[in-house]
Parts: sequence; structure tokens; C-alpha cells
Amino acid sequence: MAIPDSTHQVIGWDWDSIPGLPATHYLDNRIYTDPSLFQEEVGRIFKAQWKFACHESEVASPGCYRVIEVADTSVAVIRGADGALRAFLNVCPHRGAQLLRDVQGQLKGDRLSCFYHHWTFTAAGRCTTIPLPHAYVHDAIQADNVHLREVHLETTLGLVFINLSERPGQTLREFLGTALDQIAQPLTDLEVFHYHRVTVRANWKLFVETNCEGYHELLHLLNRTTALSQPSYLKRKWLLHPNGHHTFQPASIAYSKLKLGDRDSGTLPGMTPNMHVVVDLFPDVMVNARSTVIRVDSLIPIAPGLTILECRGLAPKSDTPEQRRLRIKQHNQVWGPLGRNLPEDIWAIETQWTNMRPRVFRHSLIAREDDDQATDDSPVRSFYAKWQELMGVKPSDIGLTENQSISESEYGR
Amino acid sequence: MDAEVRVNITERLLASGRYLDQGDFEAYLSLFDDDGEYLIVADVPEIAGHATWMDLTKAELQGLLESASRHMWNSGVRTHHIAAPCFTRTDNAIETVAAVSVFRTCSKGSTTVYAVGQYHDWWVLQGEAWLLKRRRLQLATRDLTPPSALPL
Repeated sequence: MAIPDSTHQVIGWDWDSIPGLPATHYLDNRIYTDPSLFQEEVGRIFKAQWKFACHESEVASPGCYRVIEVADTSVAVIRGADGALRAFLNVCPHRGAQLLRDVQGQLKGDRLSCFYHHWTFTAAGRCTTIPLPHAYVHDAIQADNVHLREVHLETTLGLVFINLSERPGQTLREFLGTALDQIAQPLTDLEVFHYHRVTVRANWKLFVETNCEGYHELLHLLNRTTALSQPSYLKRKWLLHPNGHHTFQPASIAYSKLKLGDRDSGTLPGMTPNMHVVVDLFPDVMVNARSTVIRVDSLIPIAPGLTILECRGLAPKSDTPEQRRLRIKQHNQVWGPLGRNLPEDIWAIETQWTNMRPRVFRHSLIAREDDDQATDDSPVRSFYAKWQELMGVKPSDIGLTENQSISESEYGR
Repeated sequence: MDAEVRVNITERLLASGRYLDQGDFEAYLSLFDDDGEYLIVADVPEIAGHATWMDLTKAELQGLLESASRHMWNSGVRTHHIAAPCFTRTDNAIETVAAVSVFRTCSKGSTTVYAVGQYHDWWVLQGEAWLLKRRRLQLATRDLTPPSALPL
């Protein structure tokens, strides 16, 4: 441990003390770095709550499938011959091989067959064929009783959600409540036209936070110019819903201030020209509507400091080619893989992560209070209230574990 | 197609990468015709099709590059490696196809391959200069890490 020299003085913030704030207004930064807590999050949050999987248009017709990941678990979403959507663990019950190895595709004849030993199943998950069955002398292993492991699936407004728990504590409707009401109209009759992934070297919650605190708009030239520059913008309200969801209420964005062109044609149903609305769904989804186009971001947590960000762009199915081209341009301006904002968000949270690991920065502040207006931290606090309910620990103090003790002795205070 | 044209276009093709690497956006833009276009597209298996990731007129490209210094993108130092192009002559233009690799050197000095793809360029003769009527970068790389809004 380094010994401060005699002239060293602590100025300003006392970095080593717990902030003199209500416990709801700061975070113990070990919530981002602790490996065992991360595994708990995967089990208690990602695998036990309703989790956005994909959009219905990605599995539009019978036989279509889409393979998605819920943390470390591969799940196949399949539209059966009967038109129904179902989800299964993407695992053959025989020896555990992946049943579907492409991220999307079309089943042949409503059947999926494991490439390893050719066990075959219907799109409804029932086993139809076990090759050379005579050698299975035990009754337990017959085509009649070795089926796929089905996962709970529900849809709303074209969004497909799954729940990996055996008995979800809530229906999807109960879980979401009224959180999507504000964008129910614009979400109608859409299809996915854009998908890309970003590997983010940071904890998943840091990305969630940047989506649910308007204060960070100062980071973005685009937002400073087109949003914060308007005097009324700071009065924009957050609406907090039960279960950690929030809505960033409508505001008008001045795109022309950055020569990006007004969004005054092709406005989605229920929206007005240049309108912007954001809905954050616990734990990891941001539905972002910018007048003419919708973006859905979701997360795959891989490790405490590694997250896959999935980005989808949605537009009306009824678009003409000209309309679609314009929407794609507008989508890409902000959120594209080479959009103006996305790289800035990623860089910001990756620098945060760099400073979380060595434990030199112990507490993060979520202490802004401004009547739930634009830069209030109340949505972040709402997120962590739900997080605490599910995790059973306070985000302001997760307690000491062996790993943290080692970490502290390595880095000193 | 005579050798002089091939040399001229090849030099401009290579210069396009060099200008981006040097941050000489004015010179980069001068390679485009006034109504030139810049596109980045990628095949995306998740949606069983291709997606357009950038679709800019020359004016829009200029707007992006002019504001680049006011953004916060972790672009690193970039080095374009552009392979020798194939040439095809059409009625009004010359089309070139050239493989491109973009290397990224981070602030600590390590270098990684950032993106690979192919430039599909359409060149038109304006006066004595061959200019880009359309650049379409077909990206093979789909995870651009870390992302940046600068064209490739």
C-alpha cells in the first residue's frame, strides 16, 4: 500500500468514504465487477424474468426460426406449421448438441433434426424419430417421451419475450403493465430492417444506465445541438412504471440544427413530426422512437466486463422502397453501426469500466433530483429498486466477499 | 482501357484510404463528384438479407466529416490497406472492385484488424479528373469494435 507523503492533502470529495447521501442515491461499484454477483444476475434476472427475444417479423412465416441468446443460454424461437410461436432451449435432449446452428432460417417440412445423431423433432417440440431405436432398451428413451425443453413465450405489439423460469411469477402483461402504452401505436405493423451487434467491454448495467439518465445527453453533440439547446427540453419528464420500466415522455427534436433534415414525412402512427419517445424495459431493453423509425436495443451479458449489445431497427411493413431508404438513413444518423451517438455511448461506458475494475472509484452517484425531469436520476434509481428486489442485496452496499477482499489488498485504498 | 487511366484511378483509390487515415477530409471529399454517394452495406444473416449502414450524399458526408472533431469517437489511428483493383468499363463510367482492410491502432500502440470488405467504386471523368460517382463499401466485418461514425 502506498504511503502518502507528508504534503499530501485530501481536497474536495472524500473518495474513500460512503457518500453522505440516502442509500438509494449511490451505488457500490462492486455491483459491476463482482463475478459471483454477475452469475446471480444471470440467474435471478435474465433467466427468471421476461426477456425480450426478437421481433415477430424475424419469424414471420411457418417454419421460420430465430436463434437468440439469453446470457449463456441458446434459445430457438420457432413459428410452427400452425402459425404459433414457440421457444425451446436450443439443445438436443440426447447429448446436448445445438439443434439449430444458424442464427435464423427455415425448417424443412416442419421438422428440425439434430445434425449429430439425427434425432428429429416437430416445430412444436415433439420427438418424431430416434434412429436405430432398437438399442434403447429402456422405456424412458422413446420418441414418445423425449421432447424439446419448451420455454415460456409471450408476445405484445410484435415484440417477442421469453422467460426461462419454470413458473414465471408474472404474466408478460403483468410484468410490463402500462410501460409500452406510449408507443403502442408506433409499434404497430412493423418489421425489422436492421440488426447489428456491438461487443462492449463494460458491465451490462452501465449501458442500461446510459439509456435511462438524460443527463448523459451532454455527451452527444447530436443531443446537445438538437435537444438540450431547446430551453423547454430540460422540463421533459420521465414516467416511472412498476417493475423498473420507464418512459422518457415525448419531446420535439430539432434535427435541422445539425443539418440532419426534419422528420416531417413518413411519421409513424401516434407520433408527430420530430417527436422522440423512449421506453426502457427492465432489465435491458430500450425502445427508442424517433418520429419515423424505431430502434430496439437489448443486451447479452457475457461476463462482468463483457456485454453484447444487440441493435434492431424497425419500420412499417407497408413502406415503399423510397420510404424505406429514407427511414434507414434516419435510423443510421443516430444509431447505426456508424451512427453519431452509439460510438459515444460505448466509449463513455468503456472508460467507466476501466475505472471500476481496480476499485479506485468505489461509489457511483445517482443523486440528481429534478422532479423526474430530463436529467433526474430517478429512472436509474427505479431500475436499481427492481434490481434490489430481485437480487436481495442493496446496490449501495453488496457486502464483502472473498474476491473483494483480495481486490482491496491488491490495490490498496 | 489504357494504362494511364488505370494508374490514375488506382492512385485516387489508394489516396482515398490515405486521406481518411490522415484526417484530410477536404482532400477525401474532393475525390467525389458533386452528386457523389457513399454507402456501406453488409450482409446480415440475422435478418436474412443485407442492411445499409451508411447512405450519404456528398453533402451529407461533408456534414458528418465537418462535425467529426466535435464528436467523441474512439476511432484510434487507422490504416487502410487497399488491394489492387479489378477494372470494368461501362458506357459512362469505370467500375473498380478492390479488397480493403482497415487496421486500428489504439492509444496504447497495439494494432488490430478493425474491418475488412470490398470497395465497389464507380468513377466518372469530369474534365481531366476521375471522380467517385458512387462508393459502396461491402463490409464483411459486422462487429465494429469500438464503433466510430467515421467512414471507412
